[in-house]
Parts: sequence; C-alpha cells; structure tokens
Amino acid sequence: MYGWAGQRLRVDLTKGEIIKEPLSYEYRRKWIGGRGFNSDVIYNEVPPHLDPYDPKARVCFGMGPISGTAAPSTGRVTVTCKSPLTGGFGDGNMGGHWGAEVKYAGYDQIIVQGRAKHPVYIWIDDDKVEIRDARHLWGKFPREADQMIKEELGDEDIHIVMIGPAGENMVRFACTFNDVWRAAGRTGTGGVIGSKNLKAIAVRGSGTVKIADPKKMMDVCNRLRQAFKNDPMKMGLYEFGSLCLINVANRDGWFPWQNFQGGAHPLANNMSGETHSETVLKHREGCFACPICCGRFTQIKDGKYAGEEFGGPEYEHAVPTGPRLGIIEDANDIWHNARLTNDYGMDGIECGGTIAAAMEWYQRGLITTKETGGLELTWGNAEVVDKLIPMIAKREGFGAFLAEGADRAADKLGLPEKAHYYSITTRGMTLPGDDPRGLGFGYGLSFSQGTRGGCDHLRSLCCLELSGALYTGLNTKLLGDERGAKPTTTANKPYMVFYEENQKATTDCLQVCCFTTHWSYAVLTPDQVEYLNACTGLDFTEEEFQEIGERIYQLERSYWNRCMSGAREDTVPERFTTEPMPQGVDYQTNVGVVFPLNDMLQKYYKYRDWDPKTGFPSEKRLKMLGLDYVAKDLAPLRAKYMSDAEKKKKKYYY
Amino acid sequence: MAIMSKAQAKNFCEMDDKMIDVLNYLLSKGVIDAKTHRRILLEGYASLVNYLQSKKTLNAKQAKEAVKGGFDYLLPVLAR
Amino acid sequence: MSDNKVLVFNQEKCTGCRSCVMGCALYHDGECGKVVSRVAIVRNERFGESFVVGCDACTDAPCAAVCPTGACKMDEAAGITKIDANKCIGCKECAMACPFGAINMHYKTGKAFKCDLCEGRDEGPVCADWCPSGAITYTTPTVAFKAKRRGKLEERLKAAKCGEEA
Repeated sequence: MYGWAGQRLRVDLTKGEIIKEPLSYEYRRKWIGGRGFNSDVIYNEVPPHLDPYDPKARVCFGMGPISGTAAPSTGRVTVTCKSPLTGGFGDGNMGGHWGAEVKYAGYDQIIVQGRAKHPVYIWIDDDKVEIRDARHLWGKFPREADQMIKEELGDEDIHIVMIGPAGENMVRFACTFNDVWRAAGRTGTGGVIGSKNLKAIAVRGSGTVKIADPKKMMDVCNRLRQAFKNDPMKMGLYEFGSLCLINVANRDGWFPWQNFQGGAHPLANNMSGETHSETVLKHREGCFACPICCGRFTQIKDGKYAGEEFGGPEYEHAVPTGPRLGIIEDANDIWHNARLTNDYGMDGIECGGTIAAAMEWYQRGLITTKETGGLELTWGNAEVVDKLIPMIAKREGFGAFLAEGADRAADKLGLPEKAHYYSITTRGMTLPGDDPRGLGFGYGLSFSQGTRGGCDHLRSLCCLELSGALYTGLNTKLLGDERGAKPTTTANKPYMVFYEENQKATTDCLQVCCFTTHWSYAVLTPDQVEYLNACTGLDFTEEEFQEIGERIYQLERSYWNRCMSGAREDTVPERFTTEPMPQGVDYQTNVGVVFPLNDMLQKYYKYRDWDPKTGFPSEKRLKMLGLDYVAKDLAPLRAKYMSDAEKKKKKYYY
Repeated sequence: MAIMSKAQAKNFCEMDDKMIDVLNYLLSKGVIDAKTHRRILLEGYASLVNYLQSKKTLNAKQAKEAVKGGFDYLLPVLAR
Repeated sequence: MSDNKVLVFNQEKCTGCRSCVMGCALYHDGECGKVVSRVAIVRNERFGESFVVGCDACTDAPCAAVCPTGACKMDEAAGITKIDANKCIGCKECAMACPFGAINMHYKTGKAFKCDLCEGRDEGPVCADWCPSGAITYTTPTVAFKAKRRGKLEERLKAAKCGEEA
C-alpha cells in the first residue's frame, strides 16, 4: 500500500487489549487521514454529553498518508478528544518526529480508550505493542520521563508522546507533547490522556512509507524545497522563530497587553525573535522533514533563572505568560514562565489566559487576596506568576480554581456575571495572542465559530490577510482581488475564512505543517494534490481535496450542534466588538479599531449553508458531503436548540 | 450577448465579499451548472476564470488579464 | 591531494529536521524511511542537540581497508569510497570500521550501503541541496576551511565590539 500504513491501532486500557483494525480504501478516500480519521472516530464513538474524563471517552492520535515522507514538513500529529475545557469537540496539533516514527512502525492512527488500573505507558515496537508500568514515571516532567523511558528501553533514538504533571492532575487545559517539547497545546488533550492513567506512548519504527511514483514525488518535493530557499516567511521563521512576529504584532496592534486591554507596548522588542536570537537562543530546531525549521531551544544566560533551558518558545507560547500578564520588562521572566508551562505540561495560551482573567478580576475588585489566598495578582507581578503556574498544575490553593479554566473558575468562585466579560472566551476557550482588532478581521471571524471551541487561530489560519501580501497576486488568484490582503478590512473575509478553513482541514489530514501552506504560501493546494497523488498513486483533484476539508469542518461543527451549541454561541469576546483599540505606541496602525463581527458572520453562514437561526448545517449540504447520518442526527435537535429551555441556559462551556 | 448588465457588474464590484453572490448569479443565468458552482466555490477565483475560458466566454488574453486583475477586470468584461 | 567536492558538515547548524534523510531515501530507494537513508541524524531532544552522520570522504578510508572482497573501494574520480553490491558479502566490517557510523546494512539485501554523493544528480547531493540550515554543504575542503576561518574571525570581532561597548 502506498502512502498509508493501512491500519489503525486501538488500545483499550481497561481490558489491556490491543487491537489492529484495517482501514479500507473507501474510508481512506473519504477522510484521508490524521484529523479526518480522528474527527470521524470522536463523532461516532464519544457521545456529546459524556464527561470527557469518563473511561469510555477516546483520545486519538492521527497521522496521514504524507506523514514520514519527503514532502515539506511531514511530522505533524493531530490529537483529538472531547475537550475537558469546553465540553465540545477539541484537538491539538503537534510537530516533532513522533508521527513519522508511528508510520514507520506501521500505523496510520492510534486510538486510546478505557482507563488503566494504575499509571502505564504504551510501547510500540513495530508490530509488537505492550502496555508497561509507569508508576515510577508519574509526577515527572516530560524531560525527565523521556530520559527514564529511553534508558529503560535501551534506545535513545525512539520517539515518545508524553504528558506532564498537569495532565496527570487533569488540569482542563493540560497539553500533550512529543519529543519532549513539541506541544499539541490546546483544548486539554493532556488531561484526557491523564484521566486514562496513561503517561506516555513510546514508538520505534523500522519500516518505510512506500511511494507509488517515486520520480514524480521527487520532482514535486524538490521543486517545493527549492521554492522555500528564497521564501520570505521561511527566512524570517528560520532566523527568529515564530517570535519574528512580535514587532509586527506590536506595530499592527495585536500584541496582547494585559488581557487584551491594549495591543501594543513600547518595550515589546524585549521579547522579539531578533532579541531572542542574540540573547538566549541555544539552538534552531526542525520538525520532521521541514524546510523552514522555525523551532527554538532557549537557554537563559543570566539573572536568577540562569541555566534554565527548554525547547521553544513559540510566539503563542511566550506572549500569554508574558505581556498578556503585563510582564515585559525582563524577558527572562517570560522565558522562565514558558519553561514552567512546558515542564508542568499545560497549554501556555489557556494558562496565561486564565491568569490574565484573574488579574483583571483583581484589578477591578471582583476578587481580592481573600480569594487568591494572599497572592497579589497585580499586572506584571512576575513573582506571583512564578508561584501560580505550578499551583495550577498541582491544583493547589487558588490554582485549583484556575485549573478549571476562566469561565468555570468564575462560577466556582461565585463571581458576578460580568466576570465572564473578562474571561475573554468563546465556548469556554480563550484566544491566542492575536487580537482581532489587529490580526485580524478574518482571524476574528474564524474565532467566532471555530470547531475546536472558537477562539482559535488554527482552524483557518487565514494568513492571506497578513503574509498573503508577500505573495504577488495570491489573494486575487484565490479570492478575486487583493483587498483582503490586510488584516483590518472586512473585504473578502467571509470567503477567505471558508477557503482557508477547508484548506487547513485537509492539510491536517495529510498531517503536513500548515506553516508551509498558511504563513508561507510556498506550497499551494495544487502542489499538495500533486504530492498526494504521487505518493498514494490515486487521482485526487483540487475540488475533492477542498471538499474533504469542508466535510471534516461540517462534521466537527455538527458535533458542537449535538452538544447544543450553535448560532447563539457564535460570538467573540465582547471586548473586541465594543472597546476601540487604545494607543500603545505612536507607530501603531489600528488605534480606534473595533472588530465588526456581524458585518461578516451572516455572509460566512451562506458559504457554509448554515441556518441563520440555529447555525446548524443544512441537510442539503450535509448530504452533498456524504454526511447523511449526520443530517439524521441533527434533525431532532434543530427544534430543541431553538427551545426556550435551551435559550435560557447560560452556556459558557458545555 | 452580455452575461450581466453594466449596473449589475458595478453592483458586484462594490460588494465587500462577492464570490458566492457572483456564482449564484451565474448559476441563475445558466452560465454555470450546480456542479460547476460547487467546484469553483471550493477551488477559488482562478477556477472561475479557467472555466469561462474553457467555455470561450473569455479568450486567452482576457483570461490572463482576469487572473491578474480580479473581479474588477472580469465583471465589466462579462457585462459587455 | 585531490580537492574534490565532498560533503562538509557544520554540526552546530544542524536542526535535526531529517530533510536530508528523506531526500536521500527517496532519491536512492524510491521509498521514505530512515532505514534506507545513507545519511542519519542523531538527536538529544531534551537538550536541543542534533548531529548529522554522513560519509566524511576519508582520504585513507577504513571502510575500504577492511573490506575482504574489494566491494568497498575508493573511486578516485569521485573522491569517495563506493560499495559494489555484487561483491559485497554483508560481513559488516566496513560499517564497524567507519569511525562515524555512516555505513549501514540494507534491510532488503543485507548488504552494506553508503553515500555515493548522489552520483548522476545534476544539482549534486540531495542532502546538501535540501538542508535548510547549511549544516550539510557540498563543497571542496579548501572552500569549507576558508569559510570556517572567516566565520570564526567574524564571531571574535563581534564579541570584541560588544566588549568595547560594555
């Protein structure tokens, strides 16, 4: 078989059973792989009102037909579950090299279900699969457990998926790693894995991925890699990491300052990629087969954290426990906080976002040191943040409230309704460091209805509105003109978001890195179709490629609908639609901007054929996508969603 | 025979976001069928230009200009 | 001494991405996997360390010296040893003799296989061509050493300037 391994691995930790399931041609043609396979499993096997920590819940690891091949950046893995943070559909996407290794071991997907009686890890050695004792690993940071497992198994070259202590403690935004530092950050997959008493999945694969037409594959892969040599985004990302965005974010006013009360700060350059590369960069890193290599390895050289080192940080990892908390004067505090969320195993975005919400509650007198147990949650108080991050991971004191995510914390603390205004969430999930008043109107439209909770940059990653401008004529070729190639315009954004969401979904099925297709546009959809066909020997068309993306997106949306989430919840945090962006620096380009969601949302609904009242996909569109069974599932729920009972429920999370 | 009036073309040009509106209009006028509507919506603007060229609604030169100039070039051409 | 173009490795630049591994595997064997690559990457992910292991084009090659059948021989024109699979008996002595571990046994044939500088590829060795960071370069030793001396000097000058400003 070309491309795919042709089988998935299902591990039942309750029964201690290992099952290998073949994947038919029809299944692979319909869902391609990776996120597609995962979303299908979650839709079918995890009921919409099941507790995400129930043993019956699933967590899926998806690889694609292109994983482990010579196409650009083929190491990514999607980790999918019912999210403990939102209660709806959730996933994370991580880089690294583990995904390629799983393909070499002979599997396209791994599904974990049940709950082990005590902590275990799974060891996959080609076709040999074992469940091994992990009690000695429980409580360890990923970097420590990684070393222990490699020593125990006698092989330093294996690759390991791992959770940190926060996952073991089922923090609602705990994350999952592979190769120690590469994180599937969002939606709390780490806690689902921890709830199953699973610490790690170690893999060794001695096989290869078979290629149907090696010469064609070589031609297209070579052509694309030559294109990356002079690609403007590659050059910035390689030199400075995703932190290359800091000064751009600051100029265009999407730099998250103090819970998005501001969008720019005069000292932003303290943490820019340029500054990072001159002060704390130890090593540039690359995920599997990547021509960009935007990964960083950081080592703090001076101050009280001298000697601390860790993989990362990304832009989105550094800003939430940095400027979003008012910390910007000493960058070493920011690097140190990123090290903490890595070692404890929590989504930096949600962790920082939850602390930021608490800091604004504190600022506005909604909580005092009485609730925080003496901690003074003042903006920029790096000492308190240093204490608080481990407390959240261990669910200690005030940390136990924050470990629930901002909206649940507000409810558990008995805070008034307006506390939720400052939680800066949609469907219970916060947004990354991309203030939609700056980056941008497309991003913001995507936040309002994104299928892994909402406030999420990776469902569309519609960089046609930012880096798209670097590629002459690209916006026109795809959308019809260049007007959308800037963030603070509504022009073309409904179509842009529709196109990019579909494109991203299929990219996630191949399991290649979206930095090659969004951010950098060196790889376009026709190129992906070319390497997909060269690899698999099949005859996908561009239309089919994009349609599969739409199929997956509509499936994920339908899962949310089954959770009783729809049009009423398609919002963004009110701060962005009501508060004009204040001035932070004199060269800021978006002063006074508010984010005009409603100008775009109803138009977007037309592209998706969603009912304006319920936000549910039409039966017609679902049937067109081969989702007849989904249309059947939704039929009785449309009226239920519109019932007074549902309308009355205050839903911050599900 | 023009596919749309000049007024209609001007209307579209002034729209903030117009891909689906243009495609719906072309469908209603029988210029494209439902299958083509679906395909172009998924593939993007260049796909529309290619289709119109394949149906000889645009000649090669016009198609080339349309890919560069976008809707602002294409719609007035369709209104001629 | 011949000044052929060979692979020169700048280890401190290796990002561990394995683009080289994929290019080599696909170009030579038409499939994608580490086990069919003539270049390997070794990583310590915990510490952010990566190293590339490839043929260093030894002028006095241990792999050729130990070969009992003459399968592994220096190709003077290319400046690198090459293995004739027809003569190879799979004894693994060359793989053990290589100081760097750059020779492996092929899973399909059981015979030794190693880098051949992508003989026949117009753009030169694919690993150097695809390397995103300049960790693998295809150049003559003379050019490589000149660049190294200049690079080291620039580092020292930069450090000295910082010293002055401080």
